[in-house]
Amino acid sequence: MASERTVRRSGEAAGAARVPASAGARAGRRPRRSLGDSRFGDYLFVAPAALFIAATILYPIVYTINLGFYDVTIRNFLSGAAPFVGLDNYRAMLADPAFQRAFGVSLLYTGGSLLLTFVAGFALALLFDRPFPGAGVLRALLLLAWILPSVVSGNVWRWMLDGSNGVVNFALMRLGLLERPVFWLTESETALTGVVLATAWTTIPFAMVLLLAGLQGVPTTLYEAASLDGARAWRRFTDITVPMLRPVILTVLLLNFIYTFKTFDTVFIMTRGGPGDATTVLPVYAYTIGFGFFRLGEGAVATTLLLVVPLVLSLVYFWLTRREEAA
Amino acid sequence: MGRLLDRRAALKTFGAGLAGAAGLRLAAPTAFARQDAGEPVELTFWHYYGGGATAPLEALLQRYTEAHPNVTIVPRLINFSDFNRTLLQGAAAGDLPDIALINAFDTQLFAESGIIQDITERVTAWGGADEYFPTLLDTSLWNGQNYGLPHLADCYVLWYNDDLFAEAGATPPATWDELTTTAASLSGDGRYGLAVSAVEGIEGATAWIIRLLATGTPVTDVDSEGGRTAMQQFVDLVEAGSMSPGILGWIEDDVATQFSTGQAAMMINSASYVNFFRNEAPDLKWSLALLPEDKERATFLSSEILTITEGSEHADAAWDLMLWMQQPDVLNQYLPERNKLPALRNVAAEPQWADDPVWSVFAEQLDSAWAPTGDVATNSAEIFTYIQEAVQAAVSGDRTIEEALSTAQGKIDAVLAG
Repeated sequence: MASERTVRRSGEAAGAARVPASAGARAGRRPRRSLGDSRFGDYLFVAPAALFIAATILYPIVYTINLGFYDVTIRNFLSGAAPFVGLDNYRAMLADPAFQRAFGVSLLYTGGSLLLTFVAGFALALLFDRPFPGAGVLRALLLLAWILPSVVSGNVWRWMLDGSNGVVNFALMRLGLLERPVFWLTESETALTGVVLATAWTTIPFAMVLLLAGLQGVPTTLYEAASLDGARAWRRFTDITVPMLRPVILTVLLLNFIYTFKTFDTVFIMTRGGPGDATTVLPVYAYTIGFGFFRLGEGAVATTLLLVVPLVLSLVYFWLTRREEAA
Repeated sequence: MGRLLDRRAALKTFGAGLAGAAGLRLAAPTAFARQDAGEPVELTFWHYYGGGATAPLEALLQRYTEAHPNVTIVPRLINFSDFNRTLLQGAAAGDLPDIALINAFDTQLFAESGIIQDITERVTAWGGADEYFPTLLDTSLWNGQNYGLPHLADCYVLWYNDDLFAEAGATPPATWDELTTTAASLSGDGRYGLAVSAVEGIEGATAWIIRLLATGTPVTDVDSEGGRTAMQQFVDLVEAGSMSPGILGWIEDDVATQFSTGQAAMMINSASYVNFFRNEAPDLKWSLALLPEDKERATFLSSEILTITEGSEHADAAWDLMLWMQQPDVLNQYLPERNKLPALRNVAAEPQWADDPVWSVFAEQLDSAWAPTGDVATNSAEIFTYIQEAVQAAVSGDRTIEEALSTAQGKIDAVLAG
C-alpha cells in the first residue's frame, strides 16, 4: 500500500523517468520523438476530448450558472434584456417553501431508494456469490430491470400500482393483506413509497453487479483461515466481507446516490411530482419552474443547487478513497 | 424512431402527391396560389397533434400540397408537454418553423416574447375574422393585434352512458346540484357516477375550473364563496363514492377509458373521443348533454392557433396555407376526422354540424366557452397548476377545503402581482 502511495505522489518523478527512456528510443525511431517530447503534442491528443467536454458539459453548466444571476422569463429571454439581479434568485429560491419541501422530498426519496437498493443489492450479491443451478440465467434476468428504459419501467409500475386495475392491489387483496384498493400513486402517504419502490427496482441490479464483482475479489483463503479459527458466518461477514468490500460499498452508495438524486424520468412518468407536492423531487421542481412556468432564471438556480449536493458528495468520495488508499 | 419513420412516410406521400399533382397541372390555380408555380417552397409546420390526431392533420396538409405542387410541407410532431419548451429553444437557436400550431392560451405568451408575428395587416386584408366565435378570436389576439388564426374549436360537455342511465331511470342533470344526486344513483358495484381528470398539472384543473365558472366566480378568485361551493362538491362526490379517488391520477385518456368500459356512467370530456368511441367501442351507447348549470353555464375552450413565426422566410406561403385551411369545404372534410368543431360560425351553421346530434351539442356548448385572456392567459400554466394542487389537497383530504383554497389564492395573487 505504502509503495503505491509513493508512486501516486511522485507522478512528476515518474514523468521525469520516462524522458530518458524515450530519449533512448529516439535514436531508432524518429517519428515518435517530435510528438512524444513536446508538451504540445500531448495536449493535441487530449484536445478532442477536452473540446467535447467543454462544449457539451462545461458550457451548459457555465451558461446555467450565469443564467441564475438574471431575472430571465420567456418574455425577455430572446431579446436578451433580462435584468441582472445578482443573488436575488438564490435568496428567493432558498426562502421558497416549495423549494425547501422539494429538497426534503429529494433527500427522502434518495435515502429510501438507496437503502432499499443497497440492502437488496447486497443480499442478491451474496446469493449469487455461491454457485447454484440457474444462477447465471437468473442474474441475467435481474439485469433486465436495469437495462429497461425508465420510460418503460416507470409506466409499468404506474399501471401495477393503479388503484382500480393494478396487479399490486389485486395480489395484496387476494392475500388478505388489504381490504379495499389503495390508490398508491394518488394518495400522498403512499405515493413516495411507490416511486421509491419503482426506482429501487431499476437500481438494485446495478448495485448487485458491483457488489458481486467485489465479493468475487475477496480471497477465499481469508474465509478458510477464519473458519479454522472458529469464526461463524456473521463474524466472517462483518470482519472480512464488509471491510474488504469497503471501497466497493462506498462506490455503490455514492454512484447510486448521485444517480437517484438526479432522477427525473421515473418520477415524472409515474406521478409528475404529485399528488400535490408529495413526490416533487428537485429535478421535477426545477423542470416545472423552468419549462412549465418559464421562470428561467429561477429554474437555473434550482438546477445549480441541484448540482451542489452530488458535487459535494463526489468530493467527499475522492477524499475518502484517497485516505483509504493512503491507509 | 417513430418520428423519423413518420416523417419518412409523410415525405413519401408528399412525394407521391407531388408527382400526381404535377400530372394534373391543367387545374386552374386557386385563389390562394400567390407563389409562382415554378418556385419551390418548403414550409415547416410544428404541432402537437399526437395519437389519432396526427394522420388527419398530415392528410390535410397533403391535400394542400397536392393542389399546390410547388409547396412542400414538412410537419413535425412534438409532444404537448415539450412543445412550448421546444419552440422556445428553437427561437433561441434561430431554428423556428414557418408555422407553429400553438395552444390557444399561449398566443399572448409567444406574442409578447417575440416568437410569433403580428399578422394584423393580413387578417384585415382578408376580412374573414368576424366569423370566428368571439371567445376564439380573442385567444388569437394580443394588445388588440392579430397574432394568428384559430384552427378549430372544441370544448367540454357531459357524456353519459345510455344503458346505465336507462337502468337507473336517470336523466342528464340540468344543474350541478342535480348532478350530485344523479351521480349517486348511478354509483356502486365498482362503478362511479362521474369521471373527470384531476391529474397533476394543468390538464387536471379543467373540470374544476368549469365547476367554478358555473358559480359565476372568475378563475383568479378561488378563495371565495364560489370556490368553496365548487370544492365542496368535488370532495363530496369522492366521499360519497360517486367519483373515484383515482381522478387525481387520470389523464383525459384514462377518463375516456373508464367511460368506455362502463366503470363511469358520466364523464366531462372534450370532443376528442368521438371517433375513438365510434371505432373502438361500437357497442357502447352514449349521448351528450350540455354541462350542468349553476348560476351560469360554463365550459372550457380547447383550441389551437395557427401562427407564423418571427423571421420566417416564407411568411407569404405560410399565410396562403393558413387561409386555405379556413375554407368551409376544407374544414368540412378535415374536422370530422379530427373530432373537432369549426372555429368559424358560418361553417358551424351548416347542416353537417348544426343538424348532427353529437356536433350540435358541442356547437351549443361553445357559446358558453371560456378561455383565459390577458394576465391570466400569460400565467395560465402557473394558475392552473395551483388550482390543481388545491383540488388534489382537498380531495385527498391532505388539507381542508379552506386551507387548500387559501393556499392556492396566495400563489395566484403572487403570480398576478408579477
